[in-house]
Amino acid sequence: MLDRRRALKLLAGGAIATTGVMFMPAGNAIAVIRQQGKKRLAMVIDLSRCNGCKACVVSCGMENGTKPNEHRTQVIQTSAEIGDKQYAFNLPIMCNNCETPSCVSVCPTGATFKREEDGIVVVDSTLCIGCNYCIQACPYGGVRFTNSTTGTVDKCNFCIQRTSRGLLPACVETCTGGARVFGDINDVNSEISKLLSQSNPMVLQASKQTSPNVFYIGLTQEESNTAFSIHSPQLWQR
Amino acid sequence: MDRRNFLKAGSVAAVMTAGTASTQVMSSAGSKTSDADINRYAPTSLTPEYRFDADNKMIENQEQRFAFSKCYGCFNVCGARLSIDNKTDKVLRAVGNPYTLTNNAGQPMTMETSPKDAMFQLSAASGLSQSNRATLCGRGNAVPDAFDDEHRITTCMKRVGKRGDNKWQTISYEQMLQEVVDGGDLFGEGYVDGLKAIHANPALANPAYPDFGPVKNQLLVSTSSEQGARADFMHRFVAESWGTPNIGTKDSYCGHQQVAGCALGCFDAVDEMALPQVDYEESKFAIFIGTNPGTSGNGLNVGSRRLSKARSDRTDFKYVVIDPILRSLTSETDTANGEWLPIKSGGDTALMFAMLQYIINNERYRKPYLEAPSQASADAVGEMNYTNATYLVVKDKKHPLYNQFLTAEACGLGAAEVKMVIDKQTGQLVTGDSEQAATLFYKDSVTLGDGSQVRVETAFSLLKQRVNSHSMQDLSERCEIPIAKIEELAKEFTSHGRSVSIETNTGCNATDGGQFAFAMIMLATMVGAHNAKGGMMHMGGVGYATMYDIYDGPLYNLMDFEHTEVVGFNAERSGDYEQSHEYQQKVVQGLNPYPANEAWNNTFVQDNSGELLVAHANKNPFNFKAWITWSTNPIYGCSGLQDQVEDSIKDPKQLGLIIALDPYINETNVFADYIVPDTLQYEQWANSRMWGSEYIGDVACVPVVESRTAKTANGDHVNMEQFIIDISKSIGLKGFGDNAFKDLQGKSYSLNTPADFYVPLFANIAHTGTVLPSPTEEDIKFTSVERALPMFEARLKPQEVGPTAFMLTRGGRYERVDKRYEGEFFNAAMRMDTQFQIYNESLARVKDSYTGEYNDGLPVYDVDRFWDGSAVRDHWSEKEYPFNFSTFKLHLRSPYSVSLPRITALGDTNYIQLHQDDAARYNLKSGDKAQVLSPKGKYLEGIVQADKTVARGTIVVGMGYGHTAFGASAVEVDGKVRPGIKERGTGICPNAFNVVDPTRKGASLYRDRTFGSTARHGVPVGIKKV
Amino acid sequence: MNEVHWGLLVAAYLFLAGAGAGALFISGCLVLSNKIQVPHHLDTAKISAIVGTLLLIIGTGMIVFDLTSFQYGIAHGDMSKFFRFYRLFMTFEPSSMMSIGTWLLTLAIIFASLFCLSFRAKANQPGHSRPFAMINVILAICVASYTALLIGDINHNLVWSNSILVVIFLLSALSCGAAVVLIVKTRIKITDVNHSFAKSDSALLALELLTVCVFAYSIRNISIFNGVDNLLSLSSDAGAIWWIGAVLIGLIMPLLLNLTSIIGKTAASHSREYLLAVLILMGAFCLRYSVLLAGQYY
Repeated sequence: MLDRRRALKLLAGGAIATTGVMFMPAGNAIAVIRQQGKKRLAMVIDLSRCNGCKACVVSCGMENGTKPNEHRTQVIQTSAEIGDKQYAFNLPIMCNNCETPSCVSVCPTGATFKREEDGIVVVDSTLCIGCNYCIQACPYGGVRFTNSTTGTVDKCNFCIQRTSRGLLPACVETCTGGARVFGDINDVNSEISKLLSQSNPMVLQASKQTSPNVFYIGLTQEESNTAFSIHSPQLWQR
Repeated sequence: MDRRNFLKAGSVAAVMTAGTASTQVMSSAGSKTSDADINRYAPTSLTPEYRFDADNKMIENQEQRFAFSKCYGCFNVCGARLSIDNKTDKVLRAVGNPYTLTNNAGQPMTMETSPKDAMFQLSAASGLSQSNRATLCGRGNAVPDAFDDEHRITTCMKRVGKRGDNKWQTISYEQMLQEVVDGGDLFGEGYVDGLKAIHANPALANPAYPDFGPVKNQLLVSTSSEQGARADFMHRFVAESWGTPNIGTKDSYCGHQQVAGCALGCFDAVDEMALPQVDYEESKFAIFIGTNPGTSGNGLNVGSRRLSKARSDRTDFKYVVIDPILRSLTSETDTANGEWLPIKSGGDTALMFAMLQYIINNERYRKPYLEAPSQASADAVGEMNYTNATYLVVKDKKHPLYNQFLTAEACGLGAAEVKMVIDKQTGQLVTGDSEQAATLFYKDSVTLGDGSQVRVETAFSLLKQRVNSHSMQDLSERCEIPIAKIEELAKEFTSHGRSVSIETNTGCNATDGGQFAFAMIMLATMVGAHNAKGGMMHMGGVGYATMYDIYDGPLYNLMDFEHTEVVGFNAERSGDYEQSHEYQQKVVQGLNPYPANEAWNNTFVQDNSGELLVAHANKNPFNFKAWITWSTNPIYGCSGLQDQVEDSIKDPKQLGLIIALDPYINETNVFADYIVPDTLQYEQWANSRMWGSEYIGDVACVPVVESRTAKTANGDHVNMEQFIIDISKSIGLKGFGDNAFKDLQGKSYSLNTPADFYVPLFANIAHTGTVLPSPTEEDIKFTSVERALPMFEARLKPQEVGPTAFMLTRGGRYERVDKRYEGEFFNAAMRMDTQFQIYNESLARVKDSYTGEYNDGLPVYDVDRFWDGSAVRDHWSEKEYPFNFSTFKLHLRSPYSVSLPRITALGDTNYIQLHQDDAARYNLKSGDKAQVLSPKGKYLEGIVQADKTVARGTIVVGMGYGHTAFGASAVEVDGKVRPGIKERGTGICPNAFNVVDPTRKGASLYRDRTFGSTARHGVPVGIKKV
Repeated sequence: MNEVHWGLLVAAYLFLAGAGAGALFISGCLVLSNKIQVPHHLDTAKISAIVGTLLLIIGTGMIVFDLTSFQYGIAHGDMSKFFRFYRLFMTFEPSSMMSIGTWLLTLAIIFASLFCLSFRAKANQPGHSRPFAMINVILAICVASYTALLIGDINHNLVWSNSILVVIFLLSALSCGAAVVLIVKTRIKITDVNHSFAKSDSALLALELLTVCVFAYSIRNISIFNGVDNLLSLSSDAGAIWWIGAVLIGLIMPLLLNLTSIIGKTAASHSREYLLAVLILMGAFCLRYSVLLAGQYY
């Protein structure tokens, strides 16, 4: 396990730091979400089905009109050594649309808020002044950024323009491996609910107490505690 | 109700009900959000082309339209569904077509499913969609940006200044046509023959080489073989209308030797094709060698999904990826099932031989299968196919059948086609059509019909000797995989019955790439995995053009016109050397005809654009007079080629006329005299097989957006087809213009626009086998096929329009195989029933053009050798060049993807990759700058990435970077400079740097020993720090 | 690699607001201590208050310049974005330290301005300025600490969430204020004969040096604990600015200058006093800039 952590640090060019040592299973996060009892849109990313193809990254950019070098989602890629063998590590990351988001409380204008009706954390581009306070407050590096077309803060909002109209987020729709699954976590019949109950999901940086709505299957404890950034250099060209 | 059956039923009502039940909450709650809110939350996002309201009713967005098209983000060719903005006619977004066999992650939708219903099933509103999605990969998603790219060519352009200066003037289509057809002093550099004069000249191209045909053979056409019907259209022009044998593609420098090599183990022929895939659904153990399933090649979308499913849903599936470099696939979440096994570049055949040695010596092969000499005997033991393992090979050098199978004719027992075996029960010599098992190991003399004795040996016995000709130790050292690991692999491969498979894809191209593939197929033959459930799937990626003669009926015969004759060998010398003028002259003069003056390839017709240009550079047999290059880029893509041929291309004295048909200026057509703008995918008429599909299927499309290219005086858009039609008409070639083809009733039709060709072709496909039904009004409207309908109605008989339109409303035609397996095997439609070859007799009848000796009928393991037979390492020592070089395909990069800004944004550069221990010996670490040194005297300078994810002794560089064209450098049009885009020129391209064959005369390429295809792996290189 | 979203402009804001608050604090103290009955102290208090107010206003301007909406408004001539900062004043979000700060600074600027005006009205009657002085001293402490609380509220940030930063920023603000006052005094040619200013300034600097070292030590430990390179190591940009700019230039050198004056019992020359003040101000800027950078490095 130590080897794996070391390998991750090595190849990510020192950009990745492991912060916090607290381990919390996603179960707690799910419990927090379910307490709300309302519709709560969430995503599960099954790493065993992710082949690192980055279709999600490109489709997100096309759908959401970000500049090619601005990403709401990215796939962190590096190699990991387990035992004496080398493996690839593919980790899609994005805004977690947290249940207790740290970005919302710091917003001085109320531009960033969590929607009652589905739990999506949105940024109202007409209210945002671009103070970047939310970017600083978010523990998930780079998932919030300044959209150079609007001059205001942008991030994944689960493709609200699609998901509020009966469609799937762009990244989910084009995930070649079928790693991304999306739905209402409080609808017990939804595929995402079933998936969450069957597997052992984790969230990123549980110690930050934000109760993310993006869950990962196949993440190790060390990885779940690592502060990955969307801006990690893209050294994995394979 | 079983989910699969449920979907198969394709009932709209059933789906609607089921969908509503589980997702009422989602849709109704969602409806609260107003469009104004969404505009504030997602100001730069698209508006969907349709939405589903609270009652799951589809509401279309009136500002957009929906259409199916093809994806050409790479050579796989997938189906795409598009959202198009009506006002700007711009494709806003592309995703997969759920009907095709390559895009749909779950079960493809049936053709009966209406497009609207298909979209509903893919939506969140249906609640079904999560496991049933139609995807496109990263490249495919990025493609819409290509259309308005500032470096795209949309007008006809004529060169200003010297070739390669990248300075142009725009000219009218009509002026360009006139100039290329009539020739003249076009550039103030002297008189140039136009196409008309070249075609009309009956003289020999080179009197010294009469066997290379007349002057019209001096037209070289380099094409894309991956554009389906468009490529067929071009071939129809080249072969049947103009008549030159000199047509080139990328196949033979891409890795066709492996396709041909696999076929050596499948057919008694040397010019067949096979490239089996893993049956992911049932495979128990799969080996991927020289390929990375799911992230490139063989159908990324479907491959990614099938493999993901297999490895996460099944605990009884294991796989090993054998490659010099770790790729994205063997993920750490899969440590129990998956493994990456590093192999030294060029050591692939050694590994195959080592595994064969272990399997044969330990008798871990499927004995009853190999002992069956005929279909009847195979049937008797429950096998689907049989092999020639038991056939007797004549081993008497003096006997005319030396190294051929002993025939029934020679034994006085029947025809020459019937081979002889030793009956297992009786030990008697019997004919190979015996229904009884035959002896696998036999080495002795037998008595022939004339009473003479001849030494014979079974194919399998020969194979055993062959695989034991090198020690396990030697083989292990060559591939740098420990013996224990090899044995473990061999054991695992022989521990799951027939449900194992091994797949490759252009990543094992040392000089023995063909032999590697032959040996690889042999591994599957050892366990009888061919056509088996969980075994080797041989029918992947086949389209209608392969399976049916779609150009000849059922409605229109598009080839029904007076064909021209193709005379002479092709300039790359694919053909039988002994039929050549050179050979015959040497014999007449009493000279030893061997070695041939130039390297010949006697196995199959390569159509290698690289070798054709090499022939041109050597003026042997001649310089080309004109070159039409369409949708291909050999200068960038062919290993070793650039410096061999560039000067001869640049020189107008050696090559009078170069015409490029392309949407982009690439590294090859930058030397063109004229560029004809071609359409991009969504603007095209297209019909193509889909690589990676399991069943027979074609993606088909009409232009769904207006082409960005200029128009002709007639108001048609300029593109490849229009240009070919118009030059053919000007020259007076048959098959274009009036009376270009006939319907089955014998009525003549003219061919003046692309639609004249593709509409009847679509009609043929739609009427092949079961005639397709007619689509509903709604289908036609929703899929925007109504825009093309007038073109169908103008060209087809009224009753033909419906089925043809129906096909387009589904974006193509796809056959469905509901029952995948029959017992332990694939069903008949998905099987390639053949006699699998332990010993390929046809190959043993082909001579090497240097030594004049016959090839071996068994796979050969040898060191890398040049054409003259000398060992590569004798020329380029281990001391000076201690590494073996390897290249690989990056999954986000394809021949055209560098022009996509969302792709270049995902990786600044590629790297020089090697093992950290190797790097340390040269004082190198990640981030350092280094030069890789080629024995050709060239070097590659780049950034080092040194870790443990590369095989030792190997340096690896990925493909797709290091572009100088495609907008990477400045281009001047009409005196205005379009500056180059920095992001497109980053990184390194290993092809120009890679070696050629110093034992060939003049310009050359490094070749596969068996098939003459271009080789590029396992090449000696050195490295130094900069 | 994290992007640096808060750079020079925000550092300038933190610095200017701190320096302004510090100057206002000292000015207020002078008023409260009744020293302003001495004319030169009155001038000092008056001019320091004015300079402090200006610094506060300029500092607040910096944060507006840093807003991406503002920058976008300039770049694209989009007036709706240019004036978007008005949104800050349309709401009060008690959970947002930024919102609290907006109103705090607004109040501070209003009262600082009133304070300045009070000098004009009844300059020689200290009683008149006293209530304003009182309010200003309190607001100055709030503003000086607030700059630390603004970044300290990012509770997952290894560097910023350190509570000792409040003390450091407060002390630094005071020494900045002192430096501003020193410039004012030097400008109006008041000589610090008893070294009383130098002594109190030295004590402040010494205290600040101590807290700064404690902070650096805690950052080192936090870095080790979290498995990252020391966020204030000399080899990083932040560390270099921290150790050379904030500590050496901003604390040790001024301290030495003061001490040599005190020990040498000579009145510092004007140029030396200017130098001292500039060093302290540079150091204070570097302190904030390096803290900002260090907090965005990992």
